[in-house]
Amino acid sequence: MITRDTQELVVSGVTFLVMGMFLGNLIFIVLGLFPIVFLALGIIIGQPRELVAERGGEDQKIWVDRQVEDSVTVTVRGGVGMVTFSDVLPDSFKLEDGTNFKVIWKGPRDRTETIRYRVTCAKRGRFELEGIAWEARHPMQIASNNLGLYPTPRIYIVQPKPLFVKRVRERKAITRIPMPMEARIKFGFPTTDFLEVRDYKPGDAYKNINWKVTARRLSANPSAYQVNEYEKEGKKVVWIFLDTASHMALGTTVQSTLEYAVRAALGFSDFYLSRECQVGLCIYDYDAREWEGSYQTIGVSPDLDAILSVVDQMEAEVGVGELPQEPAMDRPVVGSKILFPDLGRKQQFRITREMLNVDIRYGGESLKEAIHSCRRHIVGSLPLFIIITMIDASKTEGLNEGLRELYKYSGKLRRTPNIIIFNIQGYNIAAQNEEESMAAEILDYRNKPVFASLRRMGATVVNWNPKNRTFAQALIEQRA
Amino acid sequence: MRTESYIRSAELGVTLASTYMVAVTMLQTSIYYKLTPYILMVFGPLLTSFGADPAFLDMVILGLVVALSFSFWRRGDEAGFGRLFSLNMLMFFPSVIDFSMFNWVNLILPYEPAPSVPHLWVFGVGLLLQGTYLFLRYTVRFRMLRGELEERGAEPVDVDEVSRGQMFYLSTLVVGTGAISAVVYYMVPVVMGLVNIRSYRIPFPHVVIGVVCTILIAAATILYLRSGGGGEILVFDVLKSEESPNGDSTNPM
Repeated sequence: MITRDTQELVVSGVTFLVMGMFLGNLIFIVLGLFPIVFLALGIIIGQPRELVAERGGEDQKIWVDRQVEDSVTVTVRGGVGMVTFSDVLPDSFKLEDGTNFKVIWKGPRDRTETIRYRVTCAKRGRFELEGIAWEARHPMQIASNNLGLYPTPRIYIVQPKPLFVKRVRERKAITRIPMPMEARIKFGFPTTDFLEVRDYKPGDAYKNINWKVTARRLSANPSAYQVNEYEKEGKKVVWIFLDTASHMALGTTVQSTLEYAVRAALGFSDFYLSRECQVGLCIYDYDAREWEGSYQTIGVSPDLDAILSVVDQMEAEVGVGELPQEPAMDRPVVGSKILFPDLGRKQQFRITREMLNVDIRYGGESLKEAIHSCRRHIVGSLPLFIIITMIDASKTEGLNEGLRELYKYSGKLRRTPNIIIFNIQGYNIAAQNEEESMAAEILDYRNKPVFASLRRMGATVVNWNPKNRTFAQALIEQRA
Repeated sequence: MRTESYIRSAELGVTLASTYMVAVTMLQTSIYYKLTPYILMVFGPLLTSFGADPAFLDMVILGLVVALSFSFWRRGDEAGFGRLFSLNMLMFFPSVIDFSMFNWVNLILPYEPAPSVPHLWVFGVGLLLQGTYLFLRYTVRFRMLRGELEERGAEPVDVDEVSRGQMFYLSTLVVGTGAISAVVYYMVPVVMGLVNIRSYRIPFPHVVIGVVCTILIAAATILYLRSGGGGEILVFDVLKSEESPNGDSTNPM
């Protein structure tokens, strides 16, 4: 491809040639050849034409904030000129050592160069490095640059680090974290975890009778035998609802409200799964409520054919060609992001894998819709619901609707559902200096009436400011 | 020496050398001899008032143009070097016109060329001017490229290596082009003699043939550059990257 620079040289040479013709001057004519010969030599030599890259290391699966090392060996062939190449890294990767970008001078001989780097993977996700982007420039910019991407695929799976609650040493602190109130199914192998003391019922094993309690009670009033009740294995259900609305993007790319929400969700799931509970995950979008349900639209779309049929009768048909297809609805086509309750490491793996993909507006349904979608797994049981969101006083309707929906399905047992609203204080995460922190405090203060309202509805509100409290501390202080 | 300083020094060298050489050549032209009395008539009193002897007019002119050239170098941008080229060509024109087959100046005023420098000297100065023009044109870009690369995060050592490579490449290309041009210049009389033997019967004047040839050379060059110049390679590489089965690769973990 000819460049402007080249055209200027050609014009310059031709000017000399023409001048030489008119003056009959051989010196001018030969000098006119000078730029043209210069261009010709430059083009014949040309810029580097081929790049071959080979990547060292291997695909890796790592935790967030861990470092990985990689190396790329590049061989440049043909031509002469400057070559830049880079291993394009995701935005969330922080270069710690070495370089992922290199510029080299390719002389007449082939050249091989290796780059090495160490990066910190600061954000969860599945990252696929496509290859080595390269650019070869002609030294004189006579020809346009050669651009290319040499495929050297590399996959990094950066797993979110769960906030392990079991690291808290105080036993009291651990007991503050609520467990699901009731087993979904009464059958199941009893564990050694003590649940309660209750009256003896026919069928209970004699060995479970708590003689001391029975004796104490009988000494006061006539009473039934008291039996120790233990937790049933793996039958308690915890539902985690994770908000991925746009307000969860508050903060930086690496340390956003959503990132903390994901880590909290993993922390909860790890905690309850390790205690033999069934954990379900539902990812929703708080703002999706504006679309008013996934099954129906608010308004009926106008029948344009019926309206425009009159126009057809008035005017001759005019060919307008192919018109772009307008979307039928504003609502994007999204499916439910639900992992139904299950237990064990397999479920933990599923949740972790799902969390790799979670991003802003990942969930396609509102809280109400999401609860509606998993109603069949809620009805008849009394699970523990954990809603991880960022409460904003300016929009609480979606949350209230969601809570009402929970009551609708789980309140049939005539017991108050156990609901924890885990509020991540996003404004505090976004605050970069003291003034912004104060502003964040004020904004959080505005939420106080909302908290009171939610508590009146029977929910437990747990506030978490990741900047000054750990996840465990936030849970400890929930009833303090 | 830092590489950028080395580039600037090289620029200064070729700038001053070309201006000095072309000025010296101009001072030995017939036109300059003819115009000297008029110049002295205008600038003589001025020189005398500054305490300079009008006999040193040549030295004064030489000093002035070299100083002007130095100021253009100090600017260091493309516009400055463009003006330097214009200045050099302005001084070069009187000397080269002495070797023209058509005396166009004589149509305006009585003038008989009597050059005191040989044509090879003038041709050599012309090569130096063209080489200087191309050299300075690209060294400016080399310096800009250094800044660009540093902004993109390249290591200073690598940037220096690139600059050194570019300077060597440019110098080689300019010298090579100059050598080819010199060979062409030497060969033209020989070739012309051979051509004249066979083409004296052609009815067209050589001017017409020359113009046609010039247009053909220009058109061929532009057509060649438009069709080639690395475009095919670019397309090939892009296609290769698009066709790679990267997206289909399965996760080994």
